[in-house]
Amino acid sequence: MTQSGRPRQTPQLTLVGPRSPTDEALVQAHLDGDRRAFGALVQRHQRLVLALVRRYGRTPEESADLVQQSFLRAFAAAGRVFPRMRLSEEGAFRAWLLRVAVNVGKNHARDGRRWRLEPVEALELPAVESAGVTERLETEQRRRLVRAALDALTRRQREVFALRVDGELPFAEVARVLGITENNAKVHFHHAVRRLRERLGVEVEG
Amino acid sequence: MSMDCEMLGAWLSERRRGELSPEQARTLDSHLAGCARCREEAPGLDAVLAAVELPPVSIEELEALRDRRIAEGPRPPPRSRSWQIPAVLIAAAAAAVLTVSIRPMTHRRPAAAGPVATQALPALDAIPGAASQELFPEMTSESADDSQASLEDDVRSLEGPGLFGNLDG
Repeated sequence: MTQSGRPRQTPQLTLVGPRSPTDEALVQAHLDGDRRAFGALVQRHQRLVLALVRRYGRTPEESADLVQQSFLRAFAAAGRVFPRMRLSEEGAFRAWLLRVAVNVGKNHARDGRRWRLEPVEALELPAVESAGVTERLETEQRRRLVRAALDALTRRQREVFALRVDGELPFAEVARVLGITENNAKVHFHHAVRRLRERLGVEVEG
Repeated sequence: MSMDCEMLGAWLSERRRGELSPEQARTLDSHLAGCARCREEAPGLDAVLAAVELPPVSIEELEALRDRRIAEGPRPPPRSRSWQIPAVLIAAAAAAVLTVSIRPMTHRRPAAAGPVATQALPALDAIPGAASQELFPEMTSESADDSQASLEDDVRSLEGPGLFGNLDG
């Protein structure tokens, strides 16, 4: 911003094409007042953010809400965090956004337990039972159990798990996002899976 | 326990996704053949990995995301929007009470205005929650603070040593 309070005139970035700007350049453009930069970052990352939060959304609309919240939260802290972020380091914004998304999902699950009366009856099979309904209820019940088990993980275990299982990132990428070594990410993942097994009591067939 | 055993779950995850090179797959098999503990543990961990996988993203999820038009720019977060309706309702309730309370004052002689006015003041308090937001317990300032605290939590928790280094340093 200029001293007069008006956005500084900055060269408009080319947002698409073979030489599209890095996330960090877009963040800088956003801070400089280029309103298109936010949209470009959303377009670039919303699928991955959806992958990270959809476990916690009970409907597609709720999942979309969580994606929106993730971007809003990431940008709400922009003034405080981005200027200190090493924007010269590629991947810094993406790492920040993905960690915010993991947190938004987790917080949503906790807020849901605190504020909503759980429809316990909904878990019981209805009088008129069909295979589709039964399957759907079982799926929802299983997802709820998994969410509860995930809540019992440490923050780091949950982050590694979400990025790996829900985000489907390779461990090298998980490690880069979290700023840890790849081996460290793998060890956290191993302990997360072990802990989930204890909590879920998964039976092994055969 | 060696580091190899501590990464068994990760190896199994990579094997499920077909991410292991042939050489890495042989290393895993060889480890399982020589480590009774991992051999015993592997099927259970594999079962967990299968159980926690989500189905692929659905068309409905993508449509809901598209309809949200997030890319159009930052909007007030949901907690701010959720305040708008209760605030209007509270204001309307307060206005209605004031109207009821004030009207007798305008139709009575000045001598009666005093007592009526003093009776009218408690009327605001007499409406359950009208002033204290009890009508909307989920919208109390405590929950708003909570949301703010949650955001602060996000920032604090994400500011630890990591890719960004110590952001306070």
